[in-house]
Amino acid sequence: MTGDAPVIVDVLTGFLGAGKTSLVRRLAEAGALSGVAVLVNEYAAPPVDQSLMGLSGLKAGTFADGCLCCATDGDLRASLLQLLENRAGGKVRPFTRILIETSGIADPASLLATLVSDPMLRPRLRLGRVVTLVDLCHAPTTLAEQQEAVAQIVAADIVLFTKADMADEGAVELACAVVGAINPIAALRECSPHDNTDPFDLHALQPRHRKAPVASAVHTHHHHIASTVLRWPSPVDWAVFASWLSLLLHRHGPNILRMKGIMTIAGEEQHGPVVIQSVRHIVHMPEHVAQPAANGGAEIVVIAREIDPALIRRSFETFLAHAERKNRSTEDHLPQINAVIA
Amino acid sequence: MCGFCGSFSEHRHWSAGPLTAARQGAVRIRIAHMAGELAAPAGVRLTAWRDRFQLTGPTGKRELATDLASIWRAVDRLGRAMPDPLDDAFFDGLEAQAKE
Repeated sequence: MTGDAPVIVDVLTGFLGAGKTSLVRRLAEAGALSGVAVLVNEYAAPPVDQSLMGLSGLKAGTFADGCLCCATDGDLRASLLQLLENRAGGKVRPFTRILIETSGIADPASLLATLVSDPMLRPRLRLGRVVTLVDLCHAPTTLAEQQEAVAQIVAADIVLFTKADMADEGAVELACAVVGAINPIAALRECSPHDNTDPFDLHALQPRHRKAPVASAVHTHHHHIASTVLRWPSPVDWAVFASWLSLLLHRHGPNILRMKGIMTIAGEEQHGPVVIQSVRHIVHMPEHVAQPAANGGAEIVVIAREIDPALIRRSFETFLAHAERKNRSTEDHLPQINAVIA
Repeated sequence: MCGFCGSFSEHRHWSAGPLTAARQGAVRIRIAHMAGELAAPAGVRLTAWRDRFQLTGPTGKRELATDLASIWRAVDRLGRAMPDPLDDAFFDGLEAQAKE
């Protein structure tokens, strides 16, 4: 245990052959991974040519620029703990970020759940970005047939399209339409083989800021996925929202694939709005952010599977309106209550 | 420090929110009230009790819960129905109250 600030954990995912390892290699060669520990799972080829050396149970290699690369046997939790112990014990070069390159057939939701909820990892790590690579040559087929590929899109903050030079004309537009319908939260960008922009660099690549997110729907081979936007025009009573959301996730968590948005809490306006973010039933601890809320109230995108998102929006609005009515009623009766007490 | 995992940070459920410690008590009372509204159709009553929540089922059976996640698990065990915010009964109940 150290008193250090939490280490940022970024996640790079994408279906088999999307180009994850190539991107990591390019970023390393461009010096963008200095001070970063890269954790690669067993299915992917390690992006280093140097011979791997054992370090307390973790196979690790070091790039010339100081990036540490480790291969894990698939137990990412154990590997992360080992990596943090090695860092604390001075057994590896110091790092401030961890980049996890997932398996091509991984559903990142379980990894994100581990990062957010594991009692030993949670205080020591802080989730950064999830970047998903999509191979433009195979995107329509992969997304139609592979549930994992859809899950990788849903989890993304940024989607990078790869192999544009080999794809058919119009492939980018088609992929943007399909991916944007699955995940209206994510920023969508092309990534050329010579592009060394670090997608995890908060300053180099800003996630798309949508002032007015829109609802969407798409049918994949397996599921109907649709999104909606929950909006409330004024600061929200935290107890009302937390009660409603916790019951929604308790009952329908597996099908509430993702929520992300911003909300001003009533009584906390001076601290700025908070970011609301969840992946399935796992909710990130809300944190205040400096940016102003779009409407001074709430604007939260919900991506759901096999649920009519309009029903979720109606439920949210109905319960918040109910709570406001109750509040007004209590305030109306306060003079009478005070008179009885007196 | 957690005696099990050695972590220095105490677990806080997300529903505790980013609120200052001074507001936590008041919000707990408010959560008991609002979650109680959602649990009422199941016949379960909620009250804030110290740093926890006390639930009383329709038969009088009681349970303690630490946060909203454990509240809903307890409501499912104690209640005569499982509340669902997407169910017709949820909308019917709240919309009927709005007309009163």
